[in-house]
Amino acid sequence: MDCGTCETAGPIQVVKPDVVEVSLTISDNAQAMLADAFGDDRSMALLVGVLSGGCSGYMYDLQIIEETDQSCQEVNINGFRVLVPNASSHLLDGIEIDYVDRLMGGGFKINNPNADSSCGCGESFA
Amino acid sequence: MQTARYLEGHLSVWRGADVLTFIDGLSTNRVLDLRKGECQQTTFTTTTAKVIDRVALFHMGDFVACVSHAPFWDALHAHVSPRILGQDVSIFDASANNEFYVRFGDDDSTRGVHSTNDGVTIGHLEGGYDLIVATVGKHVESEVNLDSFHAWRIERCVPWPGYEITAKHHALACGLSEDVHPSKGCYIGQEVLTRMISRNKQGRTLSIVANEEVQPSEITTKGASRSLAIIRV
Repeated sequence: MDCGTCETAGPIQVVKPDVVEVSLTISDNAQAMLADAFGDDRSMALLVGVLSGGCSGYMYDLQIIEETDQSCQEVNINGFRVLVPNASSHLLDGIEIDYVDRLMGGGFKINNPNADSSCGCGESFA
Repeated sequence: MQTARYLEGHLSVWRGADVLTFIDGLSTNRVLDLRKGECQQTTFTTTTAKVIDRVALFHMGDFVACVSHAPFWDALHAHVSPRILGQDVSIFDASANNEFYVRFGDDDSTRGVHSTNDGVTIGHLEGGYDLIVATVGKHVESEVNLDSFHAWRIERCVPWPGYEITAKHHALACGLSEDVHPSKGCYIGQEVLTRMISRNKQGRTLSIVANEEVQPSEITTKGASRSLAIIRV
């Protein structure tokens, strides 16, 4: 097998959508939960990203972090730092981060106007 | 063992720290455990579980080689490319540098491993055949054509891209149930396949049939007296 990547072949062109300047909102319920999670330490940030996979092709990735190596946009909402990776900004513009309080299927939810469909659990979208 | 040239093979080289995670998130079975020296097949499906392609992955140490079916490459590329996002995955096309062969027949080789000798990589795949990727210019003896392989496939109900494995059928119908992990988490097409399995309703299935038993339109690989067909059961 000749892997062809040493001298000859260039990488296959991958689709790289334009970086979008993201606007997003956080519901009151979600802000209350973030306040619980962050406490008084607002140096932490909520990373809202997208990974490949899930039933519909893309999966949300929410993390509370201090910093990241990813190239991100930072949005500040009522003192909460929200980081959105540029690579997935086109999928996250206009989202609302909500929090649903129920025993089954509760937790943070993303309402995404860019999603054509979502899987039943809400973690994945297309 | 007999060897036939597989003219429609395609080789892409996938590099990066996230390659296995990336593929695992999109394909029907678990590939996260693939280690250097191992090979395995996996299937990419649409949201309706229709097959995009079944590929063979070779873990080569610092990259993963993906042997796919050349006529399906554009669809597979269009499927995976927009989903790379920020993950460390780079894909290179190395098809022009290689030739492809299938080796089949009685063999007791350990399956799921590959070896390379002087530019020729042999992957012993599940399904009882080997996939050979040879650097252009390296001699591989191919004493039969692909028709002999298809005759061998018919007797063992082995599906093949472009015949049984097409975008018309879902992964279970075209004989790829071995590729569908029963308890893997979400991937594209998983909800449909899991529902079929749990309700024991998959509609059509790949079968060996006598030629006169079925409508000609149902035959996917035609043999002299017996054929492969995807039929309603």
